[in-house]
Amino acid sequence: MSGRGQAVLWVLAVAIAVVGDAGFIISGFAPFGENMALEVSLDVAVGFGTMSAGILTWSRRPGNRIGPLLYAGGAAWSLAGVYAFGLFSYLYGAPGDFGAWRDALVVIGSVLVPVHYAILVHLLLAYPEGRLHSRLERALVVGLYGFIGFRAIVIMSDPLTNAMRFLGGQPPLSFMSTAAFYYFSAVALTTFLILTRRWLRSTPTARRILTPVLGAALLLAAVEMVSAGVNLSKTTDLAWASLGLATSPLGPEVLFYSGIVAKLAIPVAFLFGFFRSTIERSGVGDLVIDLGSQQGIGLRDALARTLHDPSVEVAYRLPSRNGFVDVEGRLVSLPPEGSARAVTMVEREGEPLAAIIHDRSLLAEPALIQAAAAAARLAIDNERLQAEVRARLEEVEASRARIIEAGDAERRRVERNLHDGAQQRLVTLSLALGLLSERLDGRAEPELASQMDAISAELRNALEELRELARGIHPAILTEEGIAAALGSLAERSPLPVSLEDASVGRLPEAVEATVYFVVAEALTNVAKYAHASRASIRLAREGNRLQVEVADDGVGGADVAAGSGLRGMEDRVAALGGELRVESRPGEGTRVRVEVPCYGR
Amino acid sequence: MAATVLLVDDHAGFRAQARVLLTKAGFDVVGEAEDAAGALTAARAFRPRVILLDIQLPDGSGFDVTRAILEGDDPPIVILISSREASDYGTRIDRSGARGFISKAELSAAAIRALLSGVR
Repeated sequence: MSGRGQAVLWVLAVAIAVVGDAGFIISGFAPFGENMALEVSLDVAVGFGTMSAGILTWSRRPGNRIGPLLYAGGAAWSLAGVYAFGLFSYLYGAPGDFGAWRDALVVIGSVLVPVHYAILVHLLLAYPEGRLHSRLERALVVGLYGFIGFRAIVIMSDPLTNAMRFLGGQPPLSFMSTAAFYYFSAVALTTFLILTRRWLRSTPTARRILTPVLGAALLLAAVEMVSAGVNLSKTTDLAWASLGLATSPLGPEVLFYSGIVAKLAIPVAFLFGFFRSTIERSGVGDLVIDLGSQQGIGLRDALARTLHDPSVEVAYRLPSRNGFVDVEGRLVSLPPEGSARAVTMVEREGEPLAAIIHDRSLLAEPALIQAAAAAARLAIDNERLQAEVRARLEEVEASRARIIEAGDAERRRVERNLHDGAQQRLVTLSLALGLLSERLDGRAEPELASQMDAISAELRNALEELRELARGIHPAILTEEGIAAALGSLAERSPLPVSLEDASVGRLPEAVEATVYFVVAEALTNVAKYAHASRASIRLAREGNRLQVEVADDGVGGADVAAGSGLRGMEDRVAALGGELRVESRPGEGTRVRVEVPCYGR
Repeated sequence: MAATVLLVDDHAGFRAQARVLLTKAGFDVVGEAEDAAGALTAARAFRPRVILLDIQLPDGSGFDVTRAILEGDDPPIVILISSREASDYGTRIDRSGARGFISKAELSAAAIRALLSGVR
């Protein structure tokens, strides 16, 4: 409903409430004693409250008849009061002569008096979907409206006289009043039975929706019955009594007030339904938060809590099988149209993503279920994105580790080739040269002998450089003896004293050994180049599945990882294994390079 | 009597040079082998007093060959050789049961004699 339409309804509601009770107000409440002001206020509250509930429900459920019915019921209740306007001017001649207007008000009022009762029955039977459920219900409602129409025709046959007769319960119309009393009582009893049966057959979720309104209706019915009984003892007019309009001034005050409270309970109950689904929609906010927090509460449980339907199921669309599956991947068949279970689709761009299977009664709260579905879509999208990201990340981590391993394997191969090829040949050459110079010893020209010596020296240098190169590519000792021995050999070859504290860690995965070795080698190179240290230490320890290595020196500190590309590259290597490299290097406090990598034996 | 020697290395060029070197120095090179399996066969066949054994063999490691040879009766003296340095093998050489290690580039009759005369 548009904002303008709503504004019109609100203005109209105020006008109806004022006009309906104008008779009481203008008469200054004089005829009815000191409590009349309060009584009229309560009367206005019932009419205006019901119309308000109607507008709010109408605007929220434009396709549902409950809103318009509430509004009409409230209006009928208020407008029926116009008879008083005319009546008082008859009785007291005040305030002024209304002539034909006065008569018209009495007639209109007397026609309208039972209308709100018919609408109330209609409302109760149609709640919450807004339509009647069976032939019996339709018969009851149509019968009531028919009776009211018939009554109006009877009144209009001699308007003023018959109106006064109805209002005063005078013959010859008293037989009709008596018939009306029994008819209305029978309808009330049938309605009560239908509603009780419906409540008993409802699921807990549906009962949550039915209970407030049915409770209010029961309260009203009870009060009306007692009132009617009391009134019957005081008046012969059954219609008057049955409408509950006679509670004042005929009944005791307590009955009057309980009657008003019971009538107020009707719009309050409908308003409660309205505000409760608003409150529950804010529960959808909690749903979003629940799902976002990832604290173990699954989508299904969160939905069940938000919708107050413990039977909620969530089925995920599986495009490859053109069906729906539950969390465990079992095929789920959706309930057919019109069964006790209803399906709300969670869609993205028109494509079904999942189905929420829930109690049918929740269809009466379309805003709630749609909001919940929207939140579920966020959650499902979120879960899927997270799963995708996780899968990608795992893939990238695995491939990064594989690249490192492949690199290591390649380095081992190159080292092995150098060793088997060039190094072997140079060694053989060196042996041959040694033999040659032995044979030439003392017989060759001095010039030739010194040239031989120079060649030998050059060859030794070449061999030495080649060995260093091979070791830098991949140290043989790492393959042969493992990380502890390899670190020992690094410590020995370092130009400054390096102590090694090694808690026998045993053999570790090749990638871990190689990474630790290269990090320590890089760190020791940096110590020798930049630290101006007098000594350094290597500490190797294993705690459970974590290997820790630390290289510390007593040098000048102030090293910057970002500046040196060597450690930077090592950081990447360590990260590829899921480990961490930290450098502490405050100026004047030496440098500490720490590596921690997960490792699971060999 | 000259000490009998078995030469084990997969590099024929190296074996040729080493044979010349050893023969000139008065050793009796009784056989050659180019892999681990050949080394074990030759050791049984020629029963040399000394085996010059390369650590890196195509079908296995010199350490394994050493262990197998030393298990026999009256085993020969094993001298490990490699184009790598002793430090590349950490403590494995010491633990192998071999008499000693000579880097191939340092191979000489003097180095062998020093190991043979030295106490274990």
